[in-house]
Amino acid sequence: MVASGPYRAARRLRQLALVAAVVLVAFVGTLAYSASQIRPSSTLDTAHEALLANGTLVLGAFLNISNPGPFPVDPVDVSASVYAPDGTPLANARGANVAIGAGGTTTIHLRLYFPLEALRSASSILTVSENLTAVSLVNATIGSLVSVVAEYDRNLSWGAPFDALTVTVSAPAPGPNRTTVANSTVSFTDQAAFPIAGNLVVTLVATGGVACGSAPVPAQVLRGAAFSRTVAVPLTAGCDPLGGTADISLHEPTFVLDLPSEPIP
Amino acid sequence: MSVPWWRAPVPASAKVPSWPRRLVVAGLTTVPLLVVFVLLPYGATQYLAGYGVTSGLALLSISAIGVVLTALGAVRVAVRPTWMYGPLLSASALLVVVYLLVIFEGSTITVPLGGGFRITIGYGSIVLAALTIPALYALAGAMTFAGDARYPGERLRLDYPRR
Repeated sequence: MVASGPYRAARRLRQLALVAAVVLVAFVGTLAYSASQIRPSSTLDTAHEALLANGTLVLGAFLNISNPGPFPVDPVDVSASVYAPDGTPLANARGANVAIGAGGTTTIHLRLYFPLEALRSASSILTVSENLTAVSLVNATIGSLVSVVAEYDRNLSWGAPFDALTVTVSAPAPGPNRTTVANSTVSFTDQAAFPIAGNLVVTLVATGGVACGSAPVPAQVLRGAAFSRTVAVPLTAGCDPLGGTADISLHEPTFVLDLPSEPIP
Repeated sequence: MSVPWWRAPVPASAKVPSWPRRLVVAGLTTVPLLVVFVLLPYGATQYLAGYGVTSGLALLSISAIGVVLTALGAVRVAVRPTWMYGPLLSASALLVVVYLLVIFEGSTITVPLGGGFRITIGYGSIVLAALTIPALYALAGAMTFAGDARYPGERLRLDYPRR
């Protein structure tokens, strides 16, 4: 070995380290540029909005991600949650893990399932059209080295299926066959993305919580259509619902959906 | 009586700068080192915080290690003609490993982009990849020390050739 051998080797190592540092900085710079080029966009999949037979509302969304940069994005994990205005979680969805190659584009289809029967704590969204909060989470790894979690909060315009639901109850009056009835008018507008088909059952409850009587109201309401129908609710003898509440529920063949109670003046 | 290897005379083909000159260069070296190891991470973090960008970096630890790294770097420049250069190079490199590990612990950055959109970037893998750089320097320091011990004074011919 020549006298300067170890030191020459040490100098080569230092040069190698310098080259490694330059390469790393260049790589990080390119990676940052590549990451900055990633463009997500989302659209609602209104074609697949539906109220399933089990009382679950399905909403769909397409998330498009384009990756024009030179590094692959792999894996991409997408999830989304929807919250009521009071923060109650309503629905969750998770997209399948995908990979986006360099210069590639992918579309992830998310389906959000709202179990309407379980929405008792946030039942106001059935009768009030308001903005829900949708939180989308995109978890991705770029160039195998950098992990990116993109969180996107946006307002989701929600059309209530029983928007502006009101029940007007008349004073008890004599009905047929010596009965007493209270004429009840149910009105609302279906602002949801699906039609309503079923029986609305109106139950008049006195102030003490005693049910005075109930009657079904057949409802076939198209999207965006207004509904108003009056039904004579037979009352139990001596029971006066005025000052109590009108409880309304939607009866479908496979589920019952309770709507918020309406006070009777 | 033979001279110990660590006090070997400077070869005739080398011209080692004087101590005052080396001290001046060492002093000047502190400026870029301080910028890289202390001011850049601290300043960048503070600057970005003004835009709502938050990071998990332990700035106090990073700054403290950065100051020590700066001091070690300056001393290394001053003692470069001596046998202490190799060990100091390795020590600095190992401290850079600690420095990077502290950065690794907080290697996330959260960027609010407005309109309800925010991104959290984790760059821990890059920090781990960067550990190869101080590892190479640590090895270089060990080899330098080995060379200095085996062939005293020979390195000076390469580092300070007489023109």
